[in-house]
Amino acid sequence: MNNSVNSENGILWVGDKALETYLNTDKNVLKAYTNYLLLFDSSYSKTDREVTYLSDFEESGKLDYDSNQLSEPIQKYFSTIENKKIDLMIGSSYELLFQKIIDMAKEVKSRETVKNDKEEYQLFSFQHFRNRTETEFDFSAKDTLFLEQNIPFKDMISDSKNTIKKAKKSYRNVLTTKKDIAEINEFLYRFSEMTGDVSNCTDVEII
Amino acid sequence: MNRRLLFTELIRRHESNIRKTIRVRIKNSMDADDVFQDLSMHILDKIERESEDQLSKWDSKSWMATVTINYCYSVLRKVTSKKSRRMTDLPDDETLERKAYQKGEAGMHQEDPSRSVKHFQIDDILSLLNERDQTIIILKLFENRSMEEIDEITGLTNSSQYYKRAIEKIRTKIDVDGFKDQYDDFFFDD
Repeated sequence: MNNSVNSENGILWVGDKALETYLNTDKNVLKAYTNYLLLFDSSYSKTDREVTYLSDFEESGKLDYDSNQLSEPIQKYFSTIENKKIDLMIGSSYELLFQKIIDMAKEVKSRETVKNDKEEYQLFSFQHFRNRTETEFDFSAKDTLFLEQNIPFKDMISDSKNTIKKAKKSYRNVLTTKKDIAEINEFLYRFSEMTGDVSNCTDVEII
Repeated sequence: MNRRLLFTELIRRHESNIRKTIRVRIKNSMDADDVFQDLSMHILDKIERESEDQLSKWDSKSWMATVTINYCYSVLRKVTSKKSRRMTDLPDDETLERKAYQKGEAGMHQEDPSRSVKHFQIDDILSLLNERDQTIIILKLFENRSMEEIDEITGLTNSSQYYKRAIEKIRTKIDVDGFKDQYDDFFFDD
């Protein structure tokens, strides 16, 4: 679902922290984008905004918040969006849903690297063509913005660091907000202008 | 930090483990559902009140397991004490003491001090300990779990050390040695 029309740039807001930031962002800035909101389910994340719940992509109707179970519904979700419509993904590195999306970007990239190495041998392989349709969503052309969160638990901090490391390998630009409740209006304004220079933005930095 | 977002993330990640932990201890499935709802509120309350320093000592899984186990036992203790209060028409303390002396079962045994007992409320004892140590004591002494099992449930790697320290702490706080000295006085003071 998207919350704006006729915009050239698209943002995918993933998870509860992203929703919170989205709701605090200037509406005029948001209008410059087509905004896609992806949440896990509605049980703890009720909102009156148009959002997509990942749990709706699970046929059995019961989706566990578990790294192994998220892959398939995420793939189904991405198959509903046109690759070129999203330029920026925003989420918290502490949320499992966003971590999984970052992980999948890495998986896709490594699969493509292997494929490219064997390109000339696999030129007429049906498997090769099947794989290409699977990986239509090209993460390496996207930017990602991690929303800073002060999380106290040791395991979550370490998972978050790993996720950021993986993102650096798979995404074009990896950015982060400098504080927990960051203002990203200025950043989004500059991003929509495509100046590419976000170095002077108050609350956002490239990592 | 928005603690409510942290709560949501934790509940989502650990819901199935929490439910399993509750089911093992609260047998009635209807009760188990109610306990899960109440426990969720308890967890939210704890997350909002607990300092960052305190939480930063934990892995999220261990913290959730600890809070869940302790909560289950506090529920069970409440249920048990309510039942016993309902079923027994308790006499006042004096009558109870007199009867006990008549049967020779008083706290301090008149003829044989080594048979003397001192009663403590489990809640009072557990409240001397922090959340982690309470869980370890509950798992070890109430559920007869091995230290390996306790490590697995709580996500700790050295629960046997914590267990020893917790026991030592209880002994010091309730002054077990002082109590033993009282026996000695009773024995040798003739």
